[in-house]
Amino acid sequence: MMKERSERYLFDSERIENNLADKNLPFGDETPYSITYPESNKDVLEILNWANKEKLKVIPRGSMSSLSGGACALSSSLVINFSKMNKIIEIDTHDLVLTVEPGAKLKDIYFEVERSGLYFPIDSFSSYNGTAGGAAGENYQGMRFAKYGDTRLNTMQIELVNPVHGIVTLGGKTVKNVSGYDAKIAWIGSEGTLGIFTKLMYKLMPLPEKRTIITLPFDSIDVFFDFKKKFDSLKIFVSALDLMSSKVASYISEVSSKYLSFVLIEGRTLEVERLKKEILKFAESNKAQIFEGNDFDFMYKKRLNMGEKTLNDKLFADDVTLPIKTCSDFLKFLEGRRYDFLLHVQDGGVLVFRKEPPGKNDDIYEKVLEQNGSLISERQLGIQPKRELFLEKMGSVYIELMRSLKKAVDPNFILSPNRYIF
Amino acid sequence: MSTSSENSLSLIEEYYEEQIIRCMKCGMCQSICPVYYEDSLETGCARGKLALSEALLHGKLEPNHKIEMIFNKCLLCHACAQVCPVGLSPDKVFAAARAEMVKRYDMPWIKSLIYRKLLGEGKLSSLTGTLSLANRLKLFVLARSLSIPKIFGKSAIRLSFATLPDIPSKPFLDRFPELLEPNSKPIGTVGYFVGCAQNSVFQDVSEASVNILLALGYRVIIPKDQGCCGFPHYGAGDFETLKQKIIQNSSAFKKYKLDAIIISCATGGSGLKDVYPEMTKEDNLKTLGANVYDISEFLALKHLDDLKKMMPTDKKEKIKITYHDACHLNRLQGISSQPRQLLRIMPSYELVEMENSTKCCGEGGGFTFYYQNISSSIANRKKETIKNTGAKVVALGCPGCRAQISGALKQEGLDIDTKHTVCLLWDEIKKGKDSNF
Repeated sequence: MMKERSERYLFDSERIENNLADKNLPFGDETPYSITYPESNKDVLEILNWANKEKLKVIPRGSMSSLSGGACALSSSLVINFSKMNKIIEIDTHDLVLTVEPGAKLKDIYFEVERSGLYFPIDSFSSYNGTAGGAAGENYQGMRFAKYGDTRLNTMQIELVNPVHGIVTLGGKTVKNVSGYDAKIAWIGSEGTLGIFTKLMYKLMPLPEKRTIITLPFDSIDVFFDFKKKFDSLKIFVSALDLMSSKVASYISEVSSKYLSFVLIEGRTLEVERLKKEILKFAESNKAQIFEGNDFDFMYKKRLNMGEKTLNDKLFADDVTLPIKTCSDFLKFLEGRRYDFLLHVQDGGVLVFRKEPPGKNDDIYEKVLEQNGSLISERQLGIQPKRELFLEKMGSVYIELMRSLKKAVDPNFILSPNRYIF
Repeated sequence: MSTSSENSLSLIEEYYEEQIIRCMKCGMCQSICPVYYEDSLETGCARGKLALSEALLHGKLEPNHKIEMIFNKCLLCHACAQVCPVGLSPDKVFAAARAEMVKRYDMPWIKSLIYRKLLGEGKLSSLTGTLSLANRLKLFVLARSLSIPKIFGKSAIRLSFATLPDIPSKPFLDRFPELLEPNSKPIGTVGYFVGCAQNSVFQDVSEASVNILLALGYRVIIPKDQGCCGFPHYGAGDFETLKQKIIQNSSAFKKYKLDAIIISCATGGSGLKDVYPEMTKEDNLKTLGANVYDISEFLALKHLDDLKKMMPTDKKEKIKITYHDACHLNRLQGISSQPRQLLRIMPSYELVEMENSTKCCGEGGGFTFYYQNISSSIANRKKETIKNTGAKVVALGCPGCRAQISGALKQEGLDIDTKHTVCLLWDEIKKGKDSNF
C-alpha cells in the first residue's frame, strides 16, 4: 500500500530531517513513520481517508515553532506538513478579511497585510516563524490579548477536513452571523484533534496610525502595582503592558533595575501622544525610554524574538494565568523560587522561566489553583506534563463530553494523538 | 592549519559539531531561506539539514548520494546565520558536510575538471583560454540552443553564458604588468586580488578597479602568481584545493609590503576575509600580509571626497539605477552602505531601491547547476523586483550575481544593464572634467 503511494509519502532521510523536537521540551524527539506534503484540501481529504482506513495516526505541522509539542511527531505517525499550502489567498480591503492557507507564515502575512494599510493583531512567542494554521490550531495570542483578543475571537471562517465528514466549512465571511452554534470556536485551539484546517479567514483592522513602545524601570513589584493602579484610572487597554524580571528584560534592553515594564501603545497619533504623557507622569521615572519610528521597529522585533533568546539560554518557558488582583503575590512567590517571569499585566498571563521543566505536581501549579488561576495561558497543553493535572482538575464529565465530540468527528482517534486530553 | 583525522565525519566534527548540537530547531532559518521559499521542503532550509547532520554525527544515518544532494541544496547565502537566535552559521556546517561527501565519494569528473583544473591551476590561464575559445566558437550559444540539460538546463545563468561579452583570449593577469605606478607621487601601495571571474570573463571590473586606484595616486601591485581565492572550492567541499589556494595566495601577497589588499569580487572578498581565518585560525595580516578591503568599502571609507571631485559637472538627465546586495558582500562582509555612497555621488544616476535588495539572486556557485529550477525561480523574483523600480541599470559587486541577474533579465529581453559599481564609477571619472587622468 505504502509503496504505491511513495510519491506522496516520504520514508527515507526526509523522516530524519523532520525529526524536530519541540524547542521548549526535553522530550518528544521521535522520527515520524512518514511525511507528506499536501497541496490542496483534496489532497488532505485523500490522505485522511487513507490514514483512517489504515488507522494511522496523523499529526498536522506548520513550521514546527510551537512551545508545547503540538507538532511533535510520534514514531508511528504520519506528519502532514503544510509548507506547500502557504498562499495568502486574499486580503479583502472592503470587508477587512484575510483568507489564507494554513501553511502561510505569519511573518509574510504581517508584511502583506500592512502593505495593504491593514493590521493583523495576532502574535505569539513564536510569531516570527509561526503559521496561520498553527495560530488556529494553537489559538495564538501573545502580548496583545487584552486589547485585540485571541485567534478564536479573530477568526471569521474555517475550512477543515475530518475523517467522517470530509471537507467542512464553519463560520462565514460576514461580520453579523448570529444564528445557530458558532461551532468554529470549538475547533480553534483544538490542536488538530478535531480536524485539519485547509483554509482560514481572519478579521483584519485598520493599521494604527502611530505605534510607540515605552520601557519603564522598576525596583520593586509593589511600586509597579502602584503605577498600575494609576494606569487603571485611564480605563483603557493599551496593546501591551508587561512586567518582566531583569534577566528576561535583558534580552531586549540594557537593564540596571530589578524589573522592566514594556508598554506598547497603538492608535491615532493624538490618542497615543495623550497616553504616552499620562503613562510617563504615572511612572514618575526619568529613566523611561521611548521607541518610535525606526527605533520602534528595532525594539518590536527584539520583543518578538525574545522567546528564542530565552530558549537559547536553556530556560524552560511555562505559562499560567492568574486573576489580576493576585498577580503581585504570585510574582513574589516566583521570586522566592528564583524563577524569572514575564507578566502580561492586563490579562494576568504569566510566563515562568526556569532551568528545569516543571513536573506534573509542581508547586507553581498548586499555587495557581489555590489562587483560582488557570494552568495554561496562551499556549495549548500539547504534550506537556501538566496535561495530567489538567485532566484531574477538569473531571470525568468534562472529559466524557469532549470525548463524545471527538468520537463524532474522529471515531478512530487518529487525529493528533496524545495531545490535549486525548 | 587544522588537519583532519581518519574519522569519516572528521570535518564536520572538527569545525562544527558544537554548532549542530546547539541548534534548537526553532525554524527562524526557515522563515528567511530563499531555497525553502521556493520548494517548501524541510531539506531546503538549515534546520532540516542540521537535523540530518546531527543524525549523521550520531550514526542514525549513513551518508549517501541523496544526502550529498541535500547538502548541495544550499546557496551559502548566509541569510539563516543572520536571523539565527543562537548565532549559528549553518552554511559553514554544510560546506564542511560537502567536504565530507567529497572525501567519501570524490568529485564527479566535470566538477573535478572545473574546480581542480580550470580554477585550481596557478594563473587561471586555462580558464580564460577555455571560456574565450568556447565563446568565440559560440559553444555556449550552441549549448543553449541544444539545451544540454545536465550542463545548462533551464538556469538563468545558462542564458548569461550564451550572451557573455567578448572574452579576451588573454587573462587580465597577462594583460597587466605586476607593478603599476600612478602619475603622481604614490600615496600608498596596495595589492590587487583579481579573482577568477574578473581575470577571465569580467575583465572590465579589474581594469576599472586598477584605474581608479591609480587615479587616486596608489601604486598598484598585481602579483602574477596569485590564484583563485578558493571560495568555489570551499563551497564545493574541496577543502584540499582550498588549502593549496590559501598557501599560494599567501606566498603571492606576503612578499610585498602592502598597505592594503583590494578585491572587487564579493565572493573572493568573503573567501579572504571569512574563510581564510576560519581555516587557518589566523587573521589576514598574518596570512596575506595586509588587511583585505572590498573596492567599494575602500573607496567609500577613504576617498569619497576625492572621488566627488572627479565626477563630471555637466548636468544631464539622470538615469535610474538600482542596487542589488550580493550575499557575499552584504551578509558575509557587512558591506551595503558603501556601494550606495559611491552610487549617490555619481551625477549621471539616480539610485532607486528595489524591494528585498538583500535577497539572494539564486546563483550560489554549483547550486545553479544542481538545482536549476529553484535557481531560476529565485532569479525571476529578483528580476521582477528590478523591473518594478523602472531602473535602466543594476549595480552590484559580485560576478556570480552579475551573470545570474543579467541572464534573467536577458531571458525576458529586458533592456536593463548589469554592471559592477566600480565600472560605473570609472565611466563617471573618465567623463569628469576634473579627473586626474
